[in-house]
Amino acid sequence: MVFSSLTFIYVFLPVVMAIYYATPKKYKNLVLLLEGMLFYAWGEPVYIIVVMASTLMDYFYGRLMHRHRENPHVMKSLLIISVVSNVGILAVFKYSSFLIANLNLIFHLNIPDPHIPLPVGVSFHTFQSMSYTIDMYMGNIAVQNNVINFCTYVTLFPQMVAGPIVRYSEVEHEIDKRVVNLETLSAGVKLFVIGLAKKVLLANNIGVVWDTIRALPAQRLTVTGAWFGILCFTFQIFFDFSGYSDMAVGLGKMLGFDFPKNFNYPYLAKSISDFWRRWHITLGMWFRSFVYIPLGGNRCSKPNQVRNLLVVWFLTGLWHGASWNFVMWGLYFGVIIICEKFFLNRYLERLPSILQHAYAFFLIVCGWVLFEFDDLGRLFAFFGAMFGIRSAGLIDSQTIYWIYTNLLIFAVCAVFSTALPARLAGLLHKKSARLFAVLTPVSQAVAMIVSTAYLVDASYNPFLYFRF
Amino acid sequence: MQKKISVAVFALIVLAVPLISFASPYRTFSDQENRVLASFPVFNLQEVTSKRFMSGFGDFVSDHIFARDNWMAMKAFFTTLTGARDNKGVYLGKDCLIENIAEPNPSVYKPNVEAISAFAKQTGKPVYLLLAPTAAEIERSRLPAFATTWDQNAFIGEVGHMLQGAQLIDTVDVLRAHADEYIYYRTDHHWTSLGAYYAYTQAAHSLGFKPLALSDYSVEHAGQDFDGTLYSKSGYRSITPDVIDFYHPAAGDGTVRLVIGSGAGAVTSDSIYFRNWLSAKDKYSAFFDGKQPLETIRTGATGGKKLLVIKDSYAHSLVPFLMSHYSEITMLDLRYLTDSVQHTVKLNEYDQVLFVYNIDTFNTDTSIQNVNLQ
Repeated sequence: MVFSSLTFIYVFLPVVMAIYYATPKKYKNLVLLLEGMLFYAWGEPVYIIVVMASTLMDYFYGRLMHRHRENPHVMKSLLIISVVSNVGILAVFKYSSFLIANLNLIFHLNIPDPHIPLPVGVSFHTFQSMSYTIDMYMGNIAVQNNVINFCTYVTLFPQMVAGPIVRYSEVEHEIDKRVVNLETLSAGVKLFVIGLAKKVLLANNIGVVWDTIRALPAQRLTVTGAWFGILCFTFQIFFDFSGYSDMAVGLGKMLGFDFPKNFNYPYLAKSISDFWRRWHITLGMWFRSFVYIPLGGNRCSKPNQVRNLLVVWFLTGLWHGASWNFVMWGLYFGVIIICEKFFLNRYLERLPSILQHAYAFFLIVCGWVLFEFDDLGRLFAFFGAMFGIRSAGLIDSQTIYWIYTNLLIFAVCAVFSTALPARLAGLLHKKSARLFAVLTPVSQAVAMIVSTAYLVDASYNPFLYFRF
Repeated sequence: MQKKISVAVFALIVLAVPLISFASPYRTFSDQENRVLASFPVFNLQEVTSKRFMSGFGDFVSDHIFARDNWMAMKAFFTTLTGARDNKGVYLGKDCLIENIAEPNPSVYKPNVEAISAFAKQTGKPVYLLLAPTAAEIERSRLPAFATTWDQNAFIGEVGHMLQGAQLIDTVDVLRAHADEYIYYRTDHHWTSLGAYYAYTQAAHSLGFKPLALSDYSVEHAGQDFDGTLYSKSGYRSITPDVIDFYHPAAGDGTVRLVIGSGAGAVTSDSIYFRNWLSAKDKYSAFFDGKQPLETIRTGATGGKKLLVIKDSYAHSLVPFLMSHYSEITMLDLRYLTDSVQHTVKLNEYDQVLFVYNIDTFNTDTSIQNVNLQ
């Protein structure tokens, strides 16, 4: 089930919230666990078994680690077993086709592909579950002895299938004790409605344009059309993903959880390193804490630093999908970040800030081309069209049509990629608290109603993270 | 206070929408969209593990939300506010809706052309293919500014080259010559009776008769306020509704006997017009009672010639004109015909076979391939 569906908003949400609020404190986690399982089973009625099995494994590894906390060898073995079993689940369910195809290609083998369908959100919940055993090993958290509490954490429906990746350490205390009050509820409503509007009104609408442009052979695209298309995708992926994260954080707040922020105006970045501190923050932090720093981080020789960065960015790319273009996409950023770290930043910092923004945005947008085409031939053909190589000229009437019929949505996307709307809202709050008090619920109601209209007539409402 | 109101408004919306929907009368059919609405999905282990239950549930919720038609119209209205000039593949043109039909798919149309060629060879009859262009080609000037649509004229030419043993009837030029007349419905994907009349004058050259002049007909504005399929699909509500015209030859319609179906289940009628449809949403079905696999018309025309028409619904506006020239016309719609062509009609009784398809059907429908008798 996705949040941006009528089934979720008008059937699942009211029922689930009503039951949750009506349940006595003692049983709230059990109810939340059952609701999370129902939510996941709605999308993966069979694979829920895999999720529950891997969750229970990590629960037991955690308890064993606690019991043997004085014995580093046992601790290490348990950690390795936990990581191997979680990565093993990923390898089987997400990467088997990719691995087999490449093995067959390299070694001229003929291993049949079992075509195992990818369970939704597998990359998110394995990473969450693993964060528990890794943090246990590092001694950052206390053991969770209550199996219901632990399973509740992994199956929390707000963030289970598309993030943010909430590490156990971040909700450790809220699992046992959390409060819902007017503050958290209204903050939750606000974030949920903003996220819904971002996904349904901005991402879906601008995404239609990209889908049309993406479907055309590159030689039929003009330079302007190709750029306009990839910019539309640039907005689509941001508003889709950050909208989804906002809805997740908002739902978390309605339940009394404080999930970490996942996006911080990524397109305002001044460098690629900066971009990745603003984009999918929870994933970046996960790799930083659990891969980069354990490998030695930047407290080691330069060659080792380079190796560590390349490992992290290879994995970050691969995490996004079992295909070489995602690996290329990750390494592309890895190489840029290495360059920035070792020499480029010195020069960048001297540039006027507008040029720094332009530098970062240009590279981010080119990155999305890598992200979007898993067929290398089409990928290079699209790059060609962007730079006038075998394109259909500079502009044509089709391109003009795309631009003028989507200009308003495009402009709104551009404005909402910046901090301007939030700043204006803050200003309004300060200048006229009364007007703000009226406008907030009114705009939320309008956003809900218009989003509903778009969902009723949904011809295009994709779930972009099915490959994650 | 503002926080309380925000939470209350949100709670009100998420509770009110399902409750009002639940309390509203249950609809099984949507007139606006002209389709059966989703019923509650079957719940059992197999339906759940295959996720059919879940997707069916989603369809059910979406189809039975209260005031569904108004939500859709609201969405279409908002898309025009944002500057969009198309919704769900329908262009908002100059006082008309124009469907931006999908580009030709060789894996569909090539076998279709080959099947018709094979049919012509197998039967040895004179076979004709009338590929009707849609409004997107003929009414280009009414598209939104800078909107583009693919070249149907070139496509018709390509099909003409591929076709063997059958003759192509190309109506693009004659329709273009009358492009500023009311030849396509404003809110529906069909051509009007007038558009079909011009196509008929072109077809007459190939089929070998002299067409009646426009002045030989009396026009009856039979169906008023017709909101067609594009009105439903797009949700655009700002277009003037259409009028359905019946063209009656001044000499009289002649004695007409229409047989729908065959054998024990056959229904007969003394008119090809079913006026009960004119008060329903789907007014175009007034021609020949809409979707029917097999219909046979015995006309008052002399000469004894028999015509077999294998067609989609574009033929429903065209065949009334052909009736003045054939004593008997049989219409087959392969999309609804469950039996084979040779079991349904005696092919050797017909003097000519005419295929009538609009380009969109020809590019998307594979039932045409059932005419290959092998």
